[in-house]
Amino acid sequence: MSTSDTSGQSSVAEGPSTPGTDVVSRRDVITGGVAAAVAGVTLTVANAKAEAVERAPAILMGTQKGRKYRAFVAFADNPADVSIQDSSARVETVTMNALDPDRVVVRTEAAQVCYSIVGQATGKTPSVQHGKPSQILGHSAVGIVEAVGSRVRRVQVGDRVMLPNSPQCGVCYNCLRGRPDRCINTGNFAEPAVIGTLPDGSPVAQQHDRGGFAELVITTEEYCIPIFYDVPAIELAMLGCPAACGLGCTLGFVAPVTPGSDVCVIGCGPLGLSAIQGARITGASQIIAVEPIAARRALARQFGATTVIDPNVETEHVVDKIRQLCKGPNTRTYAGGKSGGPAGRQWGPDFVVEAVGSDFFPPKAGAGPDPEGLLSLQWAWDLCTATGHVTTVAVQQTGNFSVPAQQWSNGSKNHHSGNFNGVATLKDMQVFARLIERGQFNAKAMATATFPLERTKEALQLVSDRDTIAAMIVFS
Amino acid sequence: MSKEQPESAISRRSFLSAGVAAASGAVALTTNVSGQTVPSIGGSGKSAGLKYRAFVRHGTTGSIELLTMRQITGRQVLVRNQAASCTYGDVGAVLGTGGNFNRPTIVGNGSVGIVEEVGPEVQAVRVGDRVIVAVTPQCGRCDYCLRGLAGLCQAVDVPLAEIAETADGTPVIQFGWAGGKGGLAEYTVVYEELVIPVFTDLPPEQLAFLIFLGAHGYASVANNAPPTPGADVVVFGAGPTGLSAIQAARLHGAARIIAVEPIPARREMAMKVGATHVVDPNEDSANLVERLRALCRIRNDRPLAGGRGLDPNFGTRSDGPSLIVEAVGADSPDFPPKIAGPDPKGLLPLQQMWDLCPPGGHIMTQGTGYPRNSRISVPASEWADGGKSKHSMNSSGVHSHHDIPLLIKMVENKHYEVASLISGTYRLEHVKDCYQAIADRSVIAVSVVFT
Repeated sequence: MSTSDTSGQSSVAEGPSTPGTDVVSRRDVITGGVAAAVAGVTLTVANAKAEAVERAPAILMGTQKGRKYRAFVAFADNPADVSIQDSSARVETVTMNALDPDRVVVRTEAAQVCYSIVGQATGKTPSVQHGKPSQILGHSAVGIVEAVGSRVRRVQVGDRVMLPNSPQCGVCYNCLRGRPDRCINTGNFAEPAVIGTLPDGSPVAQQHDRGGFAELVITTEEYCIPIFYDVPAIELAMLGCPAACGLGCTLGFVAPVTPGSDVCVIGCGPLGLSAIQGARITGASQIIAVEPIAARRALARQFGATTVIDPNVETEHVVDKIRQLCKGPNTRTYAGGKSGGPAGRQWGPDFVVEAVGSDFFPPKAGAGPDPEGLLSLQWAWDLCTATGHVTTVAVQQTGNFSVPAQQWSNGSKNHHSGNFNGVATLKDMQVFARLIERGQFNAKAMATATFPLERTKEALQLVSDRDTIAAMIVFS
Repeated sequence: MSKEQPESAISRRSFLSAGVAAASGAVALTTNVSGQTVPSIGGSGKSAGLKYRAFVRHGTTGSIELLTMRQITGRQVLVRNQAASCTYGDVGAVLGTGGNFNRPTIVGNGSVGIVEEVGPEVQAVRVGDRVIVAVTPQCGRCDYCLRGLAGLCQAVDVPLAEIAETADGTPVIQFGWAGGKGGLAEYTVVYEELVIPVFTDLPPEQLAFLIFLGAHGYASVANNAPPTPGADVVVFGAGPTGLSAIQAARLHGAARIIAVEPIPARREMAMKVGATHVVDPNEDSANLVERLRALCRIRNDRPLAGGRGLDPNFGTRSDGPSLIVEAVGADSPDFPPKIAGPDPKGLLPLQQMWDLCPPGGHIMTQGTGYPRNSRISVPASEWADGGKSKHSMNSSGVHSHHDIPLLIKMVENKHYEVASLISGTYRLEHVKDCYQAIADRSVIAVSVVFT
């Protein structure tokens, strides 16, 4: 018996040729590993070695009461429009309360820095309300289980676990109906539990009852996904929120991309880039990426996009351009084709993914045509054909979005408002980890900057500036 | 693509240039491979009386004959063939055994060519279109088509049409269901449900591969219980159908794709088109199932944390692939292959697949040619509630009018490999050599070409 993972795939590796664009081998993406090598990609790569600092000592038994560890904590006292550097969020020493019997102590290896956390640190999109406990920031992490409460069954001390942004309890209303991506036993919307105190004696909780920017995470069983694949912590941490969210848009069970289909991904941050990779993994024939930042467009190409479009160029024609790209050779309506219909509205991608959102903090360069993030929603809706699927996952838009009532009522567009769209975390995180291990999904090339805990504000600044794809807080 | 081109990016007219100026309606001539000429009627409406060569089987003998075509009518389409789909199923019909041919029958099963004339009721195609004559119809109007099960399209029951006559005036039919289609002939006359216009410049022999072998292999994975990304798929048999199934598994994002195949060259090709592991079923045959199961073992054995432990009913390990595809079938006793698998009757692989399938797994079988009255026996308790899902779709569940254009798109995008699966092409007069090569399994895929 012979085994091999890569031989022969190169013969079928080439991406489709698009007029005016160069052909990029799609399989090269997954063998190369690091995307920054591609010509034209300029990203700030700040792989800072975590400085040697004293770690919280491991305590593997007992209630953990009185255990001390460091954490990046946000407070409610920020003035309006404070900068990231000047915000009151800072590294503090937390003293643990006694461990709840339903909770797990995880020693953090890496935690991913989502763009949404920037606003939580400065108070622009506050997570900490006045009069409520301060919060350890973050909403996903990877680490090793150090202690489990007496009622915990899912994990054991020593397990490597991923703590994603959505749990999967398996027993709530939504889980029982096949929608664990909306598991109700989430800490996101409840009052987070107080898990310890700060040096001044004030209580401290964790963002989304989970945190991540801390040496320890005190979480509940439903969030613990044991990982049995040999994948580096930084790559696993990418899956904690944006990569899994993006993969869910194209591989998840809600609107899975089918082989040979046409896919359009609007926005190529970590989420959109993951959606592009998911579409490639499941055999999409055409993947059109829309992104204003040149380095992100280049990475989209590397990950499998067959055409990249800058939305700041001929902005008013973007939708029409994409429709034309999806026209196909067959216009014979009695023989499986599409004639086009009024304004070519029959032509369009089979699947549209919107991953843009609003700019609470403007990027250093390459702002899109609409900082409010509504235009991309409009495009996504317009591009979706009758019977097509449009998945929207971007966040932080303000105001309302309106579409023609006639289309809304009976346009046959399938709209999925995402979040962790179609990701059953307990099942799928293991699948995604396996896709990384087998070289099908490239998380490494997106985790372009790493920082130790004490430099968390630098990580937030980099993410806010969009000078990196994603940033990581890492622990030695 | 510009807006000024309302029809197609590829001119249908370009395919006519070989034979005729369609507008004139005049009969023109094309040169065929044998140096003889194939008359092209090019939309003149004069199919009646057209002389053409075909491989005709009558009784126990088959030979190339010159036939005279009858006038086409109704929903019929006249196609001038560029290449014919050649598959193992027709070995007996071509080489002289098997089949009951009590009427003169043009042999073959599907072809690619150019429409030369259409009956007055035809909607889907026009004169000059490049088309594929599919093996399985998709009428879009029967109960099965309406339920999304076009692989079971009821148009198969359309009676065989007498489309031509032999020199002595005996009516001639074409092999295959849905009115008959043949393929080993310079012309084919078929009903509309079988005709798919294709808008591509791919060479005829590549399209000929897709008609039956490619489409059915792909459909066996894609249309019944498609694997999810990261799943494990085992494909028994890496002949042309299995090699297409392997590619379908790759296109669905499968993490492990394990091919089971006795012929080394086919195992090698399996690795080239997407298999991650290959296994020789003749090697340590008694432990094949256990070896395959070990390859599919997942590392998480924590039943309360997304893993698999012991099966509650049978106390056995529940490891195994999500999908098992059978693309083996039986060897014709008259034409044994040069390298055979462990069971020429093809029954052992069926048994092994059942044993390998874990609870929650799917088995898709599509082989043919099993000895008359042969049976598969499995433990009744597993059959009743073992959690195994078994699909035995006729035509592998292919949706011809959807799947074949999709495959063409994926070939053009280089996501689906065909060129390296084509071992060669034959002229009609060498049709028996072509099928002998297929019977020997000394090639992967071959076809008869006419242009």
